[in-house]
Amino acid sequence: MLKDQISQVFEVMAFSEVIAAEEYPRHLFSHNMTPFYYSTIQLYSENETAEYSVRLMLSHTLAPRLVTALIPEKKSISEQDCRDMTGEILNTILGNFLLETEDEIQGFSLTPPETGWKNQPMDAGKPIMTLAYIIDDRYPVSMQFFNRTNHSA
Amino acid sequence: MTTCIVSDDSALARAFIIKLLKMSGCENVNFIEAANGKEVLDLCRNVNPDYIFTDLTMPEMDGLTLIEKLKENTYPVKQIIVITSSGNKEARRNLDLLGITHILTKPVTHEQMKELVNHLSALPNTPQENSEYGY
Repeated sequence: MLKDQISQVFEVMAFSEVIAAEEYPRHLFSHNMTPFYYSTIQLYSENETAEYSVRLMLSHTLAPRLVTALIPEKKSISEQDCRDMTGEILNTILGNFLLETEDEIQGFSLTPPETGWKNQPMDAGKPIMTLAYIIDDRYPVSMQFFNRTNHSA
Repeated sequence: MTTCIVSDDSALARAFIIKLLKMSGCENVNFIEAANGKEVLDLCRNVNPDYIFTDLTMPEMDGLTLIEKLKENTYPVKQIIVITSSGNKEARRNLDLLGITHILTKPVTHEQMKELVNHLSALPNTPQENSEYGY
């Protein structure tokens, strides 16, 4: 269901085709893409028993393309535009996922996204799950889930 | 001229909503952007918006708090439309209690916005303070 949301969001927002990385020739894809834009959202249960962190990473060449796909008339694209786009995509994916699964997964909320740009790999612990995709046959996208339960302040 | 405030913490999301509204026939509209609920309230003190499009998850002041404040201050806004990715049952229940009936889930398509604009155009041209339509 999460994978469906990822595909739907990229297709609707950016008219892009999403292929799961495992269906793609392995040698053409690497999780260690740099530089990249990232967004992070905390997913927390309202009774404070569980907290997760979800990070989306888009390659630095993909993000501006997505902005252009969303708003073709935009004359110049800034780093902030790319960060906004990364945040919006993650926010929409997770929001829709929680909506679709609210009968099974109740009581979770999202924080606003934090966004940034990196030219070296991020070190944030070991993800409990990583989803990797190729967009438009070329651009890697990665989504990582971290368990932050009992780690938050 | 119709005045419309579009509130979202993402500048890109605001630009996209305005683009969809223009594509849906919203010409001769004064679009004003805000990044959170507090900015919307500040704008409302000087501007009389006809419509407010707002996200729910925003820093400083979220969408629900904004709508509560708008009702407390009885600003004569014709319609408040929520555009959000986080429209779960509880959020919808809270919005329903506040009289908000127009909710779009991101990602919003042109077709959805056009349908909304057509619907809003057909509504009576009156402020919603005590209207049976709510917001």
